[in-house]
Amino acid sequence: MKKLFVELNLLISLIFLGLTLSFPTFLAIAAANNRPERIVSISPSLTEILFAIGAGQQVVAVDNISNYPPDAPTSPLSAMEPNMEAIATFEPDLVVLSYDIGGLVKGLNTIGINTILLPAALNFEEILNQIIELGQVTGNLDQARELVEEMNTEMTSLISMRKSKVRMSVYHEIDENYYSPSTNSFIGSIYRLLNLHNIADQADKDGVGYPKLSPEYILSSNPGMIILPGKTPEYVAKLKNRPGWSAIDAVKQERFLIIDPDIGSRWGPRIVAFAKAVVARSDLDEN
Amino acid sequence: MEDIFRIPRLALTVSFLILGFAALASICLGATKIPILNIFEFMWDSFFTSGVNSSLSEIEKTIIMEWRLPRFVLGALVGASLSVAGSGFQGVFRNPLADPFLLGSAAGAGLGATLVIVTDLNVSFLFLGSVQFGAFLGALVAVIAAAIISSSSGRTTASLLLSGVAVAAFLTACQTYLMQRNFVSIQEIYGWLIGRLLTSGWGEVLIILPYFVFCFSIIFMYGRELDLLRMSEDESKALGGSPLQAKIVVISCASLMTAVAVSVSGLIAFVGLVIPHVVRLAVGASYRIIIPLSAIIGAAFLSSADTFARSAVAPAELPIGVITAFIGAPFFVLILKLSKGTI
Repeated sequence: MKKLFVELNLLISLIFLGLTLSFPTFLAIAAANNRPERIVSISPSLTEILFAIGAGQQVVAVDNISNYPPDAPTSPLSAMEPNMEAIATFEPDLVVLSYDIGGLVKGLNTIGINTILLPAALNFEEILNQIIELGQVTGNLDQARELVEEMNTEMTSLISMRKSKVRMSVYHEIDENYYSPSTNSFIGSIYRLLNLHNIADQADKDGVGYPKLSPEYILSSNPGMIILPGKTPEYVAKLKNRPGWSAIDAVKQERFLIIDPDIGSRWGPRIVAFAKAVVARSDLDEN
Repeated sequence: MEDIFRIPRLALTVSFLILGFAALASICLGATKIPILNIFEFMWDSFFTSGVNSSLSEIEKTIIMEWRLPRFVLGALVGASLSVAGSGFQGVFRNPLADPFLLGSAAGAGLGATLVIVTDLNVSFLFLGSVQFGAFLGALVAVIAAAIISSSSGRTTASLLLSGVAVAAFLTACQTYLMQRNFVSIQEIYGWLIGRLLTSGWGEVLIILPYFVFCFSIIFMYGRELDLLRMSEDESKALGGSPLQAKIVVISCASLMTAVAVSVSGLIAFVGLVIPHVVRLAVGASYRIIIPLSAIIGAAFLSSADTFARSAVAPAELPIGVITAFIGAPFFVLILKLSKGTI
């Protein structure tokens, strides 16, 4: 049963890979002569990428959750439950999206609207690939290449900075149910790049990306740093009061990192800022 | 309290043995591998001597005393509450398929609690805190709504259940909407809908314990009334029962139990339905026996389900509601099949 599941998974990933590789390339060729001028983005992550590669001028509307950069033209379009008709009223010549819910791509293509589907990246490299792809499709390839090079350089220097350092273990707490991103998710994969041990990995044998950890496992794996997306000081105070948690290294040394929850859930250029913050916090000499 | 002596000794002993076994499993199993002999030694020391010479590390002691033990007790209390509430509802409605989940009272409790949390209302009442009182009102309103809707459409077993299902669906939709509007994370909504046991330390146990003791005692005392209710209301009155009072009291207490259980665990399905049935099949139809034994077996069942949830895929965890529904749903079908013609 399990084997069948794995094979099925593999098959689906292969199909996905095929689609993501061939489809945008095809579109890119078409777009080279035909630079889109009315882009609609219904993916907060892709919105961030579009603006970072200088395609912001071409964007006419973004979904209701896309709040970065602040000058993105936020509209009532739903990112979770996208509505084809509502999208069509903006008369876009290109729709960028990350989830093809309810046959949206097919529907938009039928009425003559081009689409590019870029599903959630799984790691840093995939983020860079998506940036290049969006650069190609929107006619901003040069700026996209520049951005990728810049991100690559910064990341490489962060990686080499961490290489010689102690391999600390980290726990990334999404909420009180102890869900945590493993290396199979883009945000969790950054920790391994930075020579940090992500404790969620052992709990993610099926590779789902966001396992629910057993609280006693967190306690006994004694993380040296705890990453808390969008948490308040009250939350941290409660966390410290969990029975036995005062013995955890991260709690003893107050090594918490509160990050913008948007950065933790979006694959985009800001991932580098996240990596920087993690490196700064994990530096043992600092304390 | 002569009623206690009517419970078959054997059934009572077996039930407690099962609960004891569940307790042991719950304390010995988990994501951290701690040698079982060392755990026994440690438990022995800490309960019977002053307990200093233990081969366990501080972390391991904390895991046992502050994580596994309270979680066992919480699971046991939630399981017992839902089972006793289920028996109560089944008695009052004379309906073998009544249960807090199917009647909509669990969903009502959820909505009530969420409303109080979201609006920051202060509605504490007598000994009830705001959240518990909101949950209690929600549970009560849901059960009454289900009862009224069903009585206007023929008052059969099926009509009560269908009304309950409709009420539950409506209230759950309201609740999910509220949670989404208030930017609760998707994981939290999901966790709530399928049920989970969230504890760190004894806080949640202390919330639920007094309500359990209070409501259980009252429903237990009304066991005779519930048995009388199995006959017609006239016969019941002739034998000295007061059916209306019994119904009001039992529905209120069952709702309160459900409300408090739901406020700590989310919507855990099927426990309140399955457990009273198992007990009924094993020891007979008297509520004076079903109620106390349901409490014990319900406690053992839910805490065992939680032990499984914690250890089957360790160090990851499964949401407990998945396990109870996985066992409960087929059982529900079995009851339907067995009772063909009578429901």
